[in-house]
Amino acid sequence: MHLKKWFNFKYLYQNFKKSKSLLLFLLCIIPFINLWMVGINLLNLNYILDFGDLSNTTAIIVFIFPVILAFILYGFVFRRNEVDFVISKPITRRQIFGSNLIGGIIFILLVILINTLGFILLSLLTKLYIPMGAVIDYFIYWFITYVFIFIISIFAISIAGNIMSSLIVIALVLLLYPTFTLIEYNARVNSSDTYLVCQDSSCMPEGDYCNGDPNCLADLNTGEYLYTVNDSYNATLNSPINYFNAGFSIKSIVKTIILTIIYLVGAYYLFKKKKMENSEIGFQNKYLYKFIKILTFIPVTYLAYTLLVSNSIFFIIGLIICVSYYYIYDLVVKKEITNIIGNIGEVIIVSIIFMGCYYLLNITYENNPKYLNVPDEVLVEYSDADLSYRYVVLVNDLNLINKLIKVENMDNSANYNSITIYLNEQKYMTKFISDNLEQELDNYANTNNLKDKFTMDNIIHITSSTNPKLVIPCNTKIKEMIVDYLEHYPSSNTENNNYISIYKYEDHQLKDLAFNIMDNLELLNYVKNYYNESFLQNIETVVYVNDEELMDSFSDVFMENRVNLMRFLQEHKYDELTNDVLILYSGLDRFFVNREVFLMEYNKYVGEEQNS
Amino acid sequence: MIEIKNLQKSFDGTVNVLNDLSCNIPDNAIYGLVGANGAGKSTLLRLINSIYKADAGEILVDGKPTYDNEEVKKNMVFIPDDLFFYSGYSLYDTAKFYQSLYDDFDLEFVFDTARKLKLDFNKSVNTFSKGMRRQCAIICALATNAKYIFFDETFDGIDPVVRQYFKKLIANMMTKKDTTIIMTSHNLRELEDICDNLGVIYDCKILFESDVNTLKTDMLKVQISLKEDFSAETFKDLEVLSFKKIGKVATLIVKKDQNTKKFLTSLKPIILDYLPLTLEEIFIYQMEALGYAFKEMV
Repeated sequence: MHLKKWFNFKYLYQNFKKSKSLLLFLLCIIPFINLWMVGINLLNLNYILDFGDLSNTTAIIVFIFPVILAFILYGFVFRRNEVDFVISKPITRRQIFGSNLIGGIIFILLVILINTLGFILLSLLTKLYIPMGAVIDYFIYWFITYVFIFIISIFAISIAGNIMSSLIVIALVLLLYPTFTLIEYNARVNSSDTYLVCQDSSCMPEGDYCNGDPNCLADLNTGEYLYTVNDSYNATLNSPINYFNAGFSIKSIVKTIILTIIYLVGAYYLFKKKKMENSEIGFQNKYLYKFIKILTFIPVTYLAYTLLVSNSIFFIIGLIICVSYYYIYDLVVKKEITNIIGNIGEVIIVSIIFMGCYYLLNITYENNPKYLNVPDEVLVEYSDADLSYRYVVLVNDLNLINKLIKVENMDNSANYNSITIYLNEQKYMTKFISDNLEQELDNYANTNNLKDKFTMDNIIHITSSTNPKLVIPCNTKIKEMIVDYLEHYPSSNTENNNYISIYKYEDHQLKDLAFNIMDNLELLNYVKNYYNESFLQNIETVVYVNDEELMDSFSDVFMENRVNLMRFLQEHKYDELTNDVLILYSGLDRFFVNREVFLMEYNKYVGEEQNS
Repeated sequence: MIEIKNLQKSFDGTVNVLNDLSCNIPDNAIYGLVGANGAGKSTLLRLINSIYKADAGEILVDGKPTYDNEEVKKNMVFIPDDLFFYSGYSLYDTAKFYQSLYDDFDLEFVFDTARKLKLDFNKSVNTFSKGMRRQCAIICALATNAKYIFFDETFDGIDPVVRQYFKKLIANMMTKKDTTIIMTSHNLRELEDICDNLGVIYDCKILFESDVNTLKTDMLKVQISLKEDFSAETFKDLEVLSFKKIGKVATLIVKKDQNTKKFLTSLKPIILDYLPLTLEEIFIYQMEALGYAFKEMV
């Protein structure tokens, strides 16, 4: 294959040159906005960024930038005089298509590359920590997704004759499938017809919910992917139903690449066959025009249907919406309204057909209950007390799964926490579990799920769990200590908050493990210096201590004589710790000191006070 | 040579713009295409330049099909009636654009001509007047040194002085190189003093085409008055295309042969003047001879 048959560099250069200001603007503004939005995290306490954090802004820009780029490169087909100018030149349609395609992809590559390099610089020059794995995933995922949207835009430009109609085609291609799944999802959710079947009584619901009925079935909610590109089941830190929250998964990447190729072939064929005399006309083919119009009518009729089923009084409003839409569409795409009377009949017929389909779908689900066995493996998502951090745990212990699924008696003496259990790619259920069960889940996550997967090679970052600002240098020595600790100290009770978090980027997601350092003096002594330094830098007026005897009096004593406290802390910040450690608290920081040393100083001070 | 065979093009699948159109455009000629607005002149040029695809028929340039043929298009340049220049592009930028796509582009020619016409080649072309923009387009087209140059409504908006300058430029070009120029107009006078060949598009096809010199030498416009009373019957030995008599003076359009002038002299006329025929007149009478009312066509 001769490259020259597909690519004309001179043409591409001129095509870029004519839009240089806009392209340059895009090249600067997109990375700037993206890096700035990510950099805002500096103001928060989240100093270690995941793939999702890097992707938030990019996931919105993906619907704007590749579309603009496609219009810059291929939009000439909408302007008759520009069509004359370009097509009459000694360049084939294949070369125009190929040159613009390659140019567009290179430009996308450049933008994503600048973003990626920006993240690396951000990681090097600020206190933000961005795992290299997340940066690489960002580059691959978003490059492919941007190219996908770019190609869909070319496909739309090749089908349609003006900007408005091609925007409609882009919206249809991107949103029609999610709309179908939403309609299907709502039908399923409203029908409440999927049941979880326990294999034995251990997960059988009990209490008020089932009133002792052994055949009682747990009611399930259903989940659904709204967007095939962001198929994020495997990205466990993101909820599968979150549309904009991108998650990296190989499955989704492969799907996207296959779809990209299909749309690319379609776009090329349509571009080659495009009748240039139809530029500036929305859809020359009246059947295509009608087909696209009816497809865009699906969400409108669904809205009308939803209004109708909620209250029949809203039927008139729904009808008005349907009829208005039909005329507004003509006005926007064709810039004229024709056949006013004929269209009313068409609106009514199409509306009845669509609404009939929605009704049939609902009936089908209501009459068709489904049963699901308790799976061997579930994904559990829960949040910490102030909902600031979501944890996702893969549980494959059947005993624990049964406990989690079981509906507990609500005991007034216990606190209950909401968890979401994803049973498979489509079904999830929300439950309330007690503090004790959550602690068990925590321990399971720490001991069974993650511990043995942290190795010398994959530990990338360490922070104090209560104070994520406090980054502890992760050198070989500490890695060795951690790995050794994980092997020899299976307990990972994190109840007393005296733990550190270690991080790794694996399976395209950031995973962390919190573990207690109080029972590992060597490790504690290593990280203590960082804790204590940080404590002295951020010390607040009030200092507390984790000792019940001193709890009441301590802060008052040192409030009156702060100099003494500071002197003491400075003198003892690097003391080698023994087994009996006392912890001082100041805000999120902690200071570790030997109890004996501290009490000696404290008693000395109290004695002096009393004498005076 | 451009050969067009049984060309057919319709818009929207229903409106026929060209139907079974055939014609040959010889090399090294200036071919004028005449027709009313909407007759299909621009569509024919767009089909030749592969902007549109024909529904049926064939267009061959130097024996090769033109549609999407890069090699053939390297020898062709098209200046449409509705001009386009990239936003912010100066004449220099536009010329560089053409230069990047045409191997024989003569940038010096652009500089020289622009200087003579006092066109600022660093100023954005879109800020120029309509006539100046057309001048820029024509300069760039001529500078490509393409073998086939297509102008749609060539001199639209250009003042008479510059128009003459371009006509001279084109004529010079024709003498130096083997160039073929195809230009359209709905104004016959516009094409009269520059075209070698003319074709009339009417009713979706080329109704009539001919060499201009042959046309001009084929006919005579005569103003004549005789001593005796006379009528059209007096000239029955000649092939009279038109006879109009006002008072004692008659104006005749006759097909010319070697005996025409002798015959007219033999009538011993009081007045005998041979008047110049305009192209418009030639076409009117030629069309009338074919049974069409020319004024309805253009």
